[in-house]
Amino acid sequence: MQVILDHLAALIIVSVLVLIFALLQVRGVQSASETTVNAMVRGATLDISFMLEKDIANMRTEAQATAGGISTSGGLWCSTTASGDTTLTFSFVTLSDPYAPIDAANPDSTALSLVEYRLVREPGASVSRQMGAVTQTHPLYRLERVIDFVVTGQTQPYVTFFDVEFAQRGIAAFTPTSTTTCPTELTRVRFQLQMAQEGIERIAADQLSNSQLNFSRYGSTIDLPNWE
Amino acid sequence: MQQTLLALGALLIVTTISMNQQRSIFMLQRTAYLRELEAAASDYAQLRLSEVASFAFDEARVGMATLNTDFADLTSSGAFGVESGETAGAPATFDDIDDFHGLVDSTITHTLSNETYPLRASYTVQYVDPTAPGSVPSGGFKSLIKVVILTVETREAIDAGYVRIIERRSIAVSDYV
Repeated sequence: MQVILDHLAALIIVSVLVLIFALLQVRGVQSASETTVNAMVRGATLDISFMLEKDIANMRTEAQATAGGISTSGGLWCSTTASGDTTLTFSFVTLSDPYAPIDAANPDSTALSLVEYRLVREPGASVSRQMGAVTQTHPLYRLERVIDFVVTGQTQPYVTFFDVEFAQRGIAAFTPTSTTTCPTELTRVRFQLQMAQEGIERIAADQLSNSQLNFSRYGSTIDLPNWE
Repeated sequence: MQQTLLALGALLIVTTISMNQQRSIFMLQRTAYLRELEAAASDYAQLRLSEVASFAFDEARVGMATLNTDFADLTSSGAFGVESGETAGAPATFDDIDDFHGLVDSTITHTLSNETYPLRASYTVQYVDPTAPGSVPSGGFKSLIKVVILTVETREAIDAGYVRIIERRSIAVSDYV
């Protein structure tokens, strides 16, 4: 007891130091985890985006779709549905094999497919983002790639935003996704995608400042010279 | 006295480790932010260049629907920029590609997936010599290919007080098509 009392101040200081070291260790581990998750989400965002870019670059016109044996009734050959500023489905006709060579002598001989990118809501799942005093809540979706009505790929359920816009020849501005069928003389398609990171927890007040980094975003504009 | 000195020493070590840790976390966040900024700048550059490419190849080609391979009447590179009836800094008044030459837009607020990024963009337009595409042709040179170079910078200083170039992208536009 005498020894403890003699070194009470030192013991208190040592306890505080051990506590600080433990907290630093936890923050360090969390930071490393966030960095890894950030890179993974970034990779997932780019994967689906590059696939979509390739599919859009191979988009076929209505006449080409018909020549390729795809039914264009109901406008399915190129259409979107939306809710607010979020595109829910984007359907169009593209090459079955994105890297298939085109026979210049018989361009309509290349196999075509109807591809649909669609957002599927993850029931009850959402992610919150702190913006100062305001908390934004985003519902979470999966973005599925459906070929000829069969799901051939999908993202993890962390998509928070997806938007597709069209631009016509001679018109610089893009029209919003409320457009239900692709406009005539479509020359450019723009899309934006945002995915949230999984597992970010707030354990200190200063983490509010980096909440904007808990998302990964990608946007792209694809020219369609084929449609000119 | 001895204990006090030891305690101070320990505090000094903890403070140093803590500051290094905070610096490390800050650097990771900064890297993530720059990556997002680069994605936004790339998206902006792609979007703007595709719009610029949709303008007429030259003032002499505005409204012309047929192919004209004679380039004697094209604007010389020294005269690139806004022409009469067009307003510098107002792309809405432009009608051909080289009107963008020298344009600097310092008020861009680009939106990508509901997030806004303050950017600054500057444009350079020049002819391309098909026989030496990597070189910058002399002032009087004309051809049927122009290249538009768009440089996107951060509008806020984030690198020790310096504005940082985050995207430089170009597009070649031909009058052949």
